[in-house]
Amino acid sequence: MNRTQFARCGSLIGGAIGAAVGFGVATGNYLLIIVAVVLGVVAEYVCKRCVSEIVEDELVYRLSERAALRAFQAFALTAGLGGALLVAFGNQLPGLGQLRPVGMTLAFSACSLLLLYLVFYSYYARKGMD
Amino acid sequence: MKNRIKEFRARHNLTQEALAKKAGVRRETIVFLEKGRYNPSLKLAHDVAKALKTTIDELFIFEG
Repeated sequence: MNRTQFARCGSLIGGAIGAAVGFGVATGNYLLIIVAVVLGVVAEYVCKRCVSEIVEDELVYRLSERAALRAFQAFALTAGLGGALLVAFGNQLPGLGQLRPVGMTLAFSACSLLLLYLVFYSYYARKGMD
Repeated sequence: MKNRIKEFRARHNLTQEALAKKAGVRRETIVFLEKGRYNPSLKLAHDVAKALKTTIDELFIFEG
């Protein structure tokens, strides 16, 4: 399998998972969602193993690292600030209902992400980079 | 950092695809390297230099 075929396979798998998840949500069949996601991950892994060409190299990893760091910074900052604002003023905004729980969720998500970052950073700082 | 990958590649009559295969990377990575848009790791610099039968010193020009 070459890279183009692999990309097509990935799109097909992604589409199938999306359809299954949509169907599962619509019908309330949550087991279907779990099965679809697990099967999709397995199918993607099998497809990746069948690719004869190089799909990932150090440039891909470096780009992913930078993109992940920027995504992390953007999310942590906006979710942290937005969450704090909603926690503080969420129940005082007229016509918007109770937004404080949304703020709490955002703030806790940002904290969890920061904690996860710290854990992985410490792990790789100890293990070293190869 | 400047490099002479294109020059060495032409000297060895290699396409970007062929060089990528020899160095064990994707063709896009060779394109990025040739355009000077990516500073490779020591390992990749070594692999590319080896594929072009030269040394890192000859291939990459360190500035400053």
